[in-house]
Amino acid sequence: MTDHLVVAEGLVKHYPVRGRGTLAAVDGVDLRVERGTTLALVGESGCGKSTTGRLLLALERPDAGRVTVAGQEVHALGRRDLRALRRTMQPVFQDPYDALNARMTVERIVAEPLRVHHAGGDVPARVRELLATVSLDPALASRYPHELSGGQRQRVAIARAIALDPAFVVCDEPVSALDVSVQAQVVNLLRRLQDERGITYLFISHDLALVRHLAQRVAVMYLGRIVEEGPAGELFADPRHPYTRLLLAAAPRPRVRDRDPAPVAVAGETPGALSRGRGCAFAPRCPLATGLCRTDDPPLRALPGTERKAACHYAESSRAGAA
Amino acid sequence: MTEPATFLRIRDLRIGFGSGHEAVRGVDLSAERGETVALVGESGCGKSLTALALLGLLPPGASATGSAVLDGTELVGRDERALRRIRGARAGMVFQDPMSSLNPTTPVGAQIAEVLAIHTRMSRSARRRRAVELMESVGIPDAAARARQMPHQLSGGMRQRVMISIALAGRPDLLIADEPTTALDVTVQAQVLALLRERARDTVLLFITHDMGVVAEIADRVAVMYAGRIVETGPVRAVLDAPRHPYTAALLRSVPDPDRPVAGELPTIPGQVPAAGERIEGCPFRPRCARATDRCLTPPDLTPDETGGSVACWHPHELTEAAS
Repeated sequence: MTDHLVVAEGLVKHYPVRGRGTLAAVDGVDLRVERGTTLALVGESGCGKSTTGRLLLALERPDAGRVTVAGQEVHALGRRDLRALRRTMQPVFQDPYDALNARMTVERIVAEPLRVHHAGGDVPARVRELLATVSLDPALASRYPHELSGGQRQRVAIARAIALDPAFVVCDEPVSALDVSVQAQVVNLLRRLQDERGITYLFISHDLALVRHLAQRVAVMYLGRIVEEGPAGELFADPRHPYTRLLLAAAPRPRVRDRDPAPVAVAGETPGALSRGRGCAFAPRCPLATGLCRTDDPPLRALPGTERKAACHYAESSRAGAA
Repeated sequence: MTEPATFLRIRDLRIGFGSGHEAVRGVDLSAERGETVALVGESGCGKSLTALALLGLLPPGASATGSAVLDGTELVGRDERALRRIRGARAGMVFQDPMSSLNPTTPVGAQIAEVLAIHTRMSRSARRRRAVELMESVGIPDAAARARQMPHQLSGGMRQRVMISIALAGRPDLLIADEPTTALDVTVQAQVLALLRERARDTVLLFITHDMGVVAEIADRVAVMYAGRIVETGPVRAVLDAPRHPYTAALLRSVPDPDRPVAGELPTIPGQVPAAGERIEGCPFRPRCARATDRCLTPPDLTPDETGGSVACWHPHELTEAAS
């Protein structure tokens, strides 16, 4: 049996919007992350991917549904137990500058979780070891965040995240703010840490090329729901949801292709999550939409003969491949 | 005239900050009308400063020397009055964050009309109508209603379309776009790139980006910058398919491609970009370059080759070698 470290079932998170009802940021999400692997959560801004990450880390409470990490139901725990569980779950955010205390030295930033959780032992030695693990020059230990480059700051944030040897790390766009050559270095570091320590990642990203490189499985989100999920190779080679295909077509490649703007240029923009109608949320932008799609919201369902799930009435149809 | 006239010609552009440190260290670049040139590089390479200098928009403390001639008009070293006339009438600019360029308390249609008031003699009602037409021309649906909305009521993609319509309002000869799609979602980015491609047919579009994928989508020619210099330039297909400068080649290798996953680690470039103000001896890429020799202690000049490109390297990749 597959060992799923993280299981989320029926997650819902709504935010009230003054005078305009509620925003369904997360609207019924199921996720499973196998121990020691990476699940990528991809989608465009406002799709609910970051909120989902915060729900998994118990940084927010869901309105419905539950999250289980290592067999413990996260949102049912008392304060003490939750505090203990937090040691094993850590975030790495996009902008390390916002995430690091500007008044602390690198050494204190990395030591903080060790002190807060009374990890004991020789803290300075442990900090030196952690900085070495993320390939940071030990001479930087006495520096402040503003004295570091973006890549160095993200290494500090990663060192802090792994200080307590977490089992589960949520990376929310961890390299989006970095220069290209530095992105590759940080991505390699994240992967090496997974190999060495068996860390399980939820990797939240809009960058499909990175996701393909890092993730074993991929879940695509659109307006608060998962629209397609499956093994990375399969999903990239043969996307079954029209939104996944649109995302893939729009992803820039570092080589010159035929410049045919037509399929993407006509595809419009994501409507606000306030305006979800009766049918499929993607129908207004979908080249395949029929009357059925405008009245019946397709559930996420397993596609026979694959390890894939998709929320599309036409996920198996040959028309889908032609779009 | 000894040389063919070029629509935009930048010569030995240097941008320094008081303390004697140069951030842009001698840029030469030319472009013809209708051509899109991508200026690509990592942060701190001087690509944005180069563009800002052309519009007289350098930050306080920075000063430019050298020359940039746009269809007979010198852009460098002009006084503020001359520059204001050039901006808007001859040159337009689109930045990464449209919110920082738009007035948050004025409807977007009125902001476009304002630009028309400065640069045309249209009547008030004609300006209003023209503003709506311009919004339609950049693909804003329901433009008449949208014109009455405030910037925050529009999506990021729509705001960037408004900025593009403002930049194009004066029918500029030069359009500078500095990371205009970096903050946008990929599907919206693709739409904005298609729009810029279509609307920049009569101008020089100088497109500044760090993203090789975006370069591939938009550029006719590309100029790669490193530490304040252009290290390689050429037709986009030649540079992306067969980069000759070791920096260009390494940068391209480190970008993952969704269609071509690599097993194991992503290739990286060892070391880091020289810090601002750092003294650079010889080729600026030398400390990070696997091909460097003693010869690289002498700075190489940008030298034209038979492919229509130029490269500043003593040991460039051969065409066959880089293509493999």
